[in-house]
Amino acid sequence: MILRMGRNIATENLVPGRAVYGERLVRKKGREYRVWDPKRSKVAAALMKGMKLDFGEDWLVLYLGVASGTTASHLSDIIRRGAIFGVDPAPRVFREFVLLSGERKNLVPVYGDANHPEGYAGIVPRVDFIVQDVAQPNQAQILNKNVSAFLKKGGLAFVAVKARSIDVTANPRKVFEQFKKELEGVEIVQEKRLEPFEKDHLALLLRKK
Amino acid sequence: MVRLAKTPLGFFAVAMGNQLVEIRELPEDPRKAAEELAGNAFEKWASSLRERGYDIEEGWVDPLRIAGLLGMKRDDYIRRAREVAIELARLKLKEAIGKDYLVIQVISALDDLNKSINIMMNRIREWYGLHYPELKEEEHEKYLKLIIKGERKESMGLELSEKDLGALKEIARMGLEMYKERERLESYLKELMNEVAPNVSELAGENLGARLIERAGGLKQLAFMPGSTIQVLGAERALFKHLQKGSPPPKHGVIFQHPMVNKAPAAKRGKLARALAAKLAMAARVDLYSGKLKPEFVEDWKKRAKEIMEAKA
Ligand SMILES: C[S@@+](CC[C@H](N)C(=O)[O-])C[C@H]1O[C@@H](n2cnc3c(N)ncnc32)[C@H](O)[C@@H]1O
Repeated sequence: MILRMGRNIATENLVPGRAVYGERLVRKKGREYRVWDPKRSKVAAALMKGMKLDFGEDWLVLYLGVASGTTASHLSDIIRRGAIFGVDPAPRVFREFVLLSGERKNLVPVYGDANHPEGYAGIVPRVDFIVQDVAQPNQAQILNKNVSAFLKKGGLAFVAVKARSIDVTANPRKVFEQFKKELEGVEIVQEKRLEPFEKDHLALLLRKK
Repeated sequence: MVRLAKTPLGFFAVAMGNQLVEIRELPEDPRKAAEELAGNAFEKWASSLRERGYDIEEGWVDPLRIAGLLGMKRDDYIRRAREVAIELARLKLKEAIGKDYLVIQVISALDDLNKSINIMMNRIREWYGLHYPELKEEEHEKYLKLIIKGERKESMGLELSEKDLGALKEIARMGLEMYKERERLESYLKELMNEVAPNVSELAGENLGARLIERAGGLKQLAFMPGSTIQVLGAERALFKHLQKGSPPPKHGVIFQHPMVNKAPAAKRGKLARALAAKLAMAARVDLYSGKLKPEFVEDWKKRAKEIMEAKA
């Protein structure tokens, strides 16, 4: 459940009493919520910009570029009865995510590179939802591979595209158009620019055909 | 035809998508299970199946489907996958950190290999030159392949019997193996560098980045070096001469190999090398502490380089 509180959004804390990255905890009607900072999380930014996303409480999620788990921690609040398989190859940030997974029973850490889905195909099942936030020049290919390998037909994918990590010099609009052209096997359901929370970022919601 | 699956529940050979024809269990204890998943137990098991005549096809089997075939519920699968995954991640992280020493070994092994190749090639060229002095082929690898092929036109060289040639061909084959090994080591070094020092690799390229780590004696050492020292890494001999005999100080060490520095006009190189060295020190620090790729480094460096190139001398 995502709570709207004035200009903020928040998720009900799966582990009451614990903040994950220094976010504010608030109580409402006997429940504790964690404020979801749109400057720290592109999913939160997209939601604040009006993206509509009906999370299923029991979804299985593959998260590519999970880093230390800032965004994943909120998804873990929402998808209480599901699971999030978080993939990242950067040892030091990923270490934080492993610690977080120890506290949250619906997080599964997968140390790996999203360019090589075969490295985690033995543990990740078919999923309802993919989140990708890898800030890499070849992020369209990375997404295509993982969508084709793991996403259910009709399943959704959220992808954050950062123009500067694909091409520093090109006009962001052109980079976004090019990115969309490279996508395979999905249709675009919604798109939102993430200003003012992130500069030159586009969030896309896709559905597998 | 069977497909193989390496899952936290065990190793499985699956036929027709829904028959478990072979099962190799993993220890109940997640930690022990993770150790087997991290090692080569799966590869051994797979080759034992091949020996027993199984026809193995490529392709994915959903591990959750296997759990279902075993009568496990979805939540039981998630619980088991998570326990094992946490142990597996811990094991792998242990290896990932401190891997800069591996970089040093690999780049040094490459140096050794290059030296050996050169020594070998000098010998081989002199040897085959007795038999076929007219053969003009500058590239070592191609030269080796020509020896093995053994075609020879009219020559004033010494005639050799099959037996005499046989010994030389063996050596030539070994030479080609060394080239192959060099290729393997180079691609391994690339992978290693992207894991150990992604930002340094982005800025300097994997090879130059590895060389800097090697010269500095480690990633940590590189991270805490002043830019002015990084700039002359690899030019230790010239620096020593400068201190001893007052010859001019070296302007740049291996950093000079960076294409953007190397291709610049001589008047700009010192400045470019200085700017790059400063960025590399910062990049090494980020690699050391977060290991997260920050594209800003490359952007900033490119901007700075552009300014330097456009400035009036
Ligand atoms: C912008 S950060 C992600 C932040 C995170 N999504 C959040 O909101 O909490 C990008 C991450 O992508 C990771 N990454 C880069 N290349 C990757 C790859 N090939 N596979 C998986 N993750 C990758 C980086 O290590 C980094 O942690």
